[in-house]
Amino acid sequence: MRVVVFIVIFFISIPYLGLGQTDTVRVLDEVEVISSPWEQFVPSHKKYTADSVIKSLVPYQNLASRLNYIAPVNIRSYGVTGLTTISQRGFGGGRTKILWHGIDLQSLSNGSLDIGQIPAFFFDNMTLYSGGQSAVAGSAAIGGILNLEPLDAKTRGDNQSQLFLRAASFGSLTAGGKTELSKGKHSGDIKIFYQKSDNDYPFINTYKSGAPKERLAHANRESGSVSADYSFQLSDKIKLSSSYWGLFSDSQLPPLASKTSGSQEEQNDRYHRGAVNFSVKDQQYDLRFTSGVDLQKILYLNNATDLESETTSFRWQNNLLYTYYLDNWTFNFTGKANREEVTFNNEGYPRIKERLTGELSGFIRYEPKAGTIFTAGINQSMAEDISIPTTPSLSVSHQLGSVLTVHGEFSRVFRIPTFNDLYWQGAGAKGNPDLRPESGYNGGIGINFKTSPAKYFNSSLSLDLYSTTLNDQIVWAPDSEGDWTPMNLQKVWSRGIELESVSSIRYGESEFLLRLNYQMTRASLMKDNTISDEYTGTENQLFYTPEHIFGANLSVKYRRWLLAIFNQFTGDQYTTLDNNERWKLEGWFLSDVNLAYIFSVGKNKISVSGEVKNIFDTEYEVRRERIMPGRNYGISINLLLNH
Amino acid sequence: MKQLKFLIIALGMAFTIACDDNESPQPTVSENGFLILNEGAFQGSNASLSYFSMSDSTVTNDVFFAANNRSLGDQAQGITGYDGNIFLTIQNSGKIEIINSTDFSEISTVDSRLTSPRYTYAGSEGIYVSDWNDGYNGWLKKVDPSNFQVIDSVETGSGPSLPNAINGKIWVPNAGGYSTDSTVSIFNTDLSFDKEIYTGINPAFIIEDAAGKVWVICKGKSWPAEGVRPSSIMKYDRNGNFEQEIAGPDGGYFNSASYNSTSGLIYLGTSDGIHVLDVQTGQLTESLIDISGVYGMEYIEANDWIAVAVPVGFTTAGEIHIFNTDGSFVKKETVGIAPNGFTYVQK
Repeated sequence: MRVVVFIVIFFISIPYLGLGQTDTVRVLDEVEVISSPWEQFVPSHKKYTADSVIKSLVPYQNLASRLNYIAPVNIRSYGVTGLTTISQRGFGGGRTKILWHGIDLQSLSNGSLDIGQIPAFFFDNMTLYSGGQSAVAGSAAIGGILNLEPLDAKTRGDNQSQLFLRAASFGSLTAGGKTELSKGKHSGDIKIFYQKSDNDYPFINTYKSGAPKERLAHANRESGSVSADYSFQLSDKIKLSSSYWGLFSDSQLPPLASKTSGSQEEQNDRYHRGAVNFSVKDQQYDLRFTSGVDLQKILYLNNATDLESETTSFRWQNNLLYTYYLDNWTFNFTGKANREEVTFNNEGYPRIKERLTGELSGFIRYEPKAGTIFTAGINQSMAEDISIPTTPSLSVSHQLGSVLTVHGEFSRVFRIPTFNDLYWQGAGAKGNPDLRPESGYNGGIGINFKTSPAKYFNSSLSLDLYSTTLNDQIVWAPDSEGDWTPMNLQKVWSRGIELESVSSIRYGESEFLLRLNYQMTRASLMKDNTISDEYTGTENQLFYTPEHIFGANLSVKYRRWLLAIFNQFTGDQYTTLDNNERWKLEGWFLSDVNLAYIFSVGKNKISVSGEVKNIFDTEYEVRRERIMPGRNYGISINLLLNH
Repeated sequence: MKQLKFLIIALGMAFTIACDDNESPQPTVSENGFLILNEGAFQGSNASLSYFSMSDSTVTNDVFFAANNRSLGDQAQGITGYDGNIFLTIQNSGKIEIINSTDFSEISTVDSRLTSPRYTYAGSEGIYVSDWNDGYNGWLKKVDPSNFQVIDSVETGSGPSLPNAINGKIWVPNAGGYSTDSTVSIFNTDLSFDKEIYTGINPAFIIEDAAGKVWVICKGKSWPAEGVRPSSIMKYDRNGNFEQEIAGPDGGYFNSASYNSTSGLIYLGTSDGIHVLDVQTGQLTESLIDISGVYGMEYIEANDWIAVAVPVGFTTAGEIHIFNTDGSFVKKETVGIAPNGFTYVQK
């Protein structure tokens, strides 16, 4: 509790320290983002975006690391090359929606997306919305929404390219580049990324007799990604665009720390995604049609047993959005029609399951005066053989004076079962076709405080309180024969606080940027028929959900030098629902330091940087027996070419 | 500068969170008792060992950690004792921990040439380990008792379960693993193949009674719906010749079995209770004890008890329920996560 009180006081005090705005330390030119159409109906949601220091200094990051730097988000991971997902506001990885051009990216089979594989610089304009909003984003938008929106960047007058190269500890090599071109009615970009890492870092293995010092074995990952976006302005009103994004990731899966005989497990992922957009923008209305496909192949191999298990999922999603503007009113109608198919091939023969899904939704936004916004919406999603509740939402945002905004919202949330939940067979587990959707309610209130823009000092502070319930949460548990099967077992209540403060100060030739964020999450299991009542209720904390997450980034720019310190604290996590201290994961504090020298050659900028990650050599495990790297080093060069 | 100093102090304070040291209880082995193996949650790496002391009828949890200052591993499946040693088979950690039966301190770890070890048999015939491999086939592996190294192996059917020595040979019930099987593989002690006998669906336990009859307990199969097949009990002579088949309880799938040689009864666990087979008459009593969530069971001869393991989910502490052999309740104790097996120990 001391920590909470202190952090609250600390955050509240920050704006009055006279610090300033986020993006005064600029290395890259900023790309202004035009929001996705649906974003205007979530004015109350807390947003997290990357600032220019992060974008320029650490372009080689994956999405998981990027989110750790910008938001108080819990990243759940099965180790350095294992599945890595977002857990926002106490809900698991399958309960934060991830969108690309409005297309769902989460796996149809298991509901997750491995954000440890995705290069962050592909999506410098990404936004993490904290909090549920199923009326807008449909199934699985319970803990939050991660919007990867690369295409709608406003066309810049100048063309720009970026190249970077990084070498780091444990055989890590990263290279990437992108070029953004615009000429006349045509604009587009191409991005490419490659990374290889041995991950053979040393650690003390406390799971073995004598706690020997070992090196992580069988943890190589090689991954690459390429994307291309093209946009054609057919007329003043009509624009056509298309996008492709492909990714491969070949990962060795290291053994548990207690396992001596090694591992021969591997996972090879292949993703192909494409989208075409047609949009019309008129004074009175917007019309946008998007058709996208997402093909995911995940191949699990165990060479020790010759076991192969491949899951292929294919989604074809079509979204039509029509938005009509009438004075202070905005009306939106959205329809979605999707075909979803998963091929399981884990028992020597393919098994195909498919379904049709869709959504109809309508929204109203009323803005009676500048700074005051009311929204209301309703969504009815549909899926074959699944009854999905009608999902309403309401929100209000009101500006008080010039510096303070208050907001509140209430909405229903839901998540339909995944294909694994419904149809999996094999390895001692089986799906359950009788599952119901998870559903619940999300509510929140908050304030935003922002100082008037000033030359030397700028500061902002946001405080959000939230509460989310989720009934019928799907949990895999043994049935009467001991086989694992999913069931609608749990009722969960998550509530908490989110704080963010961004401040900057310019003093002489120095620029300081301080970014702080904090999340307190109390996530309780209110009901679960499979466990004793003594372990349910408001006292216990859900497992793998830290109560406290804190981030503090400080950067200082002086002439051509840029020094940045990125700190993240993730609190203790229980790994059992009875909150047994014996099995608790100790919290960890990580601090990364990056020093860059930036200079110009003509119109171009070059930065050379060195970094030390986990500078205090913190020993930590993201899951039991999944030991993470200690202190490690990297150097990189980053070229920004304006042409 | 004052602001920066304030920030540094504040950050320091923010990250100073008091932590309690979790002192683990020390093992308190009395004259005799029994060990309870707690499987833990798969991928949770929270398997553990509990000890029930018969001198004061109390449970001490986490005795492996207390004796060895390290965790047991992930997915503990098998526990058996022989010659002062306790063999703990940890499937997802791919190892067998061998500990002293008196103070539970480590003797050795068998950790090479094992993929997915399930159960260990240890006796005068040697040490044999069933290994699921990928869950669709399996192996029987022989361990040298002098150095605890795997020295030989032979392929079995799917999902080999707990081996047993019968008539100088090693019988391996092929319990199906992730698929289905209906055989027992029989090997000589040097792992040369002797014969294969056919049984009911998914044989999991082999018990030889005092009269030299061999009972093969077949779990049955509850899914997929079109493939449901009931549990059964098959009777053979010591050479593997079939003699009798007894149908299992309706809708009941055996997950544990233990033999009471004094009364000539085999206790059989299903998820909703304990059933009794009289080896003399071949009669199956449908429910001696009604208890839901049975995951393991053992007859404790020293106290004439039946100990039943109940996981209560795989995410919280489990329970053991102790009954007299007439079915009357004795007591309940809280143990580690997902208890699944027992073995008697004597100091």
